[in-house]
Amino acid sequence: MNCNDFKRHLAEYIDGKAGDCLGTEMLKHMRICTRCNEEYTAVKDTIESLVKDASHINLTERYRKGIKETIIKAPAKKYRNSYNILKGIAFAALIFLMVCAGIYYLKGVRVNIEPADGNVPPTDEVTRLKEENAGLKSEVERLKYDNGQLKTSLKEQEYQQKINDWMMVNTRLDEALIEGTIIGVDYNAKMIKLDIYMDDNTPNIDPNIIVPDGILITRPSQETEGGFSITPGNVEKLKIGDHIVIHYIGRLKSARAILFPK
Amino acid sequence: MDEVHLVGLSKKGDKNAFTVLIEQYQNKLYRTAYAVLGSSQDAYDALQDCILKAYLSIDSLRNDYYFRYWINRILINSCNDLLRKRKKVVYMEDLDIQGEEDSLNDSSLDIRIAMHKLNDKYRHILALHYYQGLTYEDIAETLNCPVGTIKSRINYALRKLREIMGKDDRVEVER
Repeated sequence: MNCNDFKRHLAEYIDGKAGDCLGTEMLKHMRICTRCNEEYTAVKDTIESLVKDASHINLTERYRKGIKETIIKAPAKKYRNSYNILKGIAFAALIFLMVCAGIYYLKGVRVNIEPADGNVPPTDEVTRLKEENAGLKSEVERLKYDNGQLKTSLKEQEYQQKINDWMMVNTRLDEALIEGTIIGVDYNAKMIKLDIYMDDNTPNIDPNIIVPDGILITRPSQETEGGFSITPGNVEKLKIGDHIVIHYIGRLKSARAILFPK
Repeated sequence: MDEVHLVGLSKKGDKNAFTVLIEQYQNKLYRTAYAVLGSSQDAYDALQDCILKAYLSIDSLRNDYYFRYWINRILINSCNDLLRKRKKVVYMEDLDIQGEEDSLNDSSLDIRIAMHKLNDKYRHILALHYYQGLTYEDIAETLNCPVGTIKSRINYALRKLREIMGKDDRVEVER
């Protein structure tokens, strides 16, 4: 044990609260350390003074009476326990009512209607009707699905037809006339897709393109994979139903145009 | 009558039971308040306040076995309130030793003066331990502190007390 340990346990030791083992260590240390021995004596004196002082302090008879009076004069208390129980019951009832109101609001009132004559159909009959009902429901679902499929298919056919309308109208090796009505606009694409394949030997040919006013179309490039792209910012000017004619004069291998395929 | 039973009756508003309960504690509580405040009148005021608060709020005591910690906590708060209100600084001249002059010797006077030069938190612990006789564990429970903290604070407070008393002695000698 060192001096710091000794100081840390000193009060405990003087109070007689240190265990046997710690007590022996403390005693050993005191024998070899004069300073800690002096510390022990001083702290012991201090504690004794405190305890002695405490024994001098006692409530006088006047104060005792005063305290009794304080309790007697204290305002009467409500019997809080029963009050709390009642409060709890009221709170639980309120919560129950709120839950009921919520269910009523969400699901509505379910009413069981029985036949006027009071004859309840036999259970087997009810089961059969339920099964029949379930079968009909699934049939309706199937028909709806088929109908949907047919509609989708029709749309696709129509779409394909319109795309075909955009097929090249006239093509010659050195001239292409592409015209049609815009059937869809993909503003995100910012590009008219024209698959126009030029003669490999004349890649820089200047096209002569006639498009609605205000629309600029760039020259074909690698970036547009041989197609013409609308200058970003102008695509918004195109709308469904616009008639567009692209008259391309130049040497072409083949040409085909699909405007804004989706 | 058993303390827990008395607490139970007090919770139901039985003033007689509460009086019996308080009689078991009042002297110890008074000593503690005296050690913290340094004046018999202040100690009495704090005790009265503590008892009234305890009576009115005993319903809030969840565990009846913890009454002694709980009442001490109220007492400490009452003492602190009083100190705050009066911003009391107790010097030797102000120490109230009425009715105790016969039994009060120099060592008691010295120790009280030194006690009032200590920081509140150390004074509370010394008051609870040496004036009321609470164990380290009881103090820890009362003040909601670890037992180790209580032990180290007691050691520190005792050293500090001794230092203060030593300094005062030296001043006396120099004079």
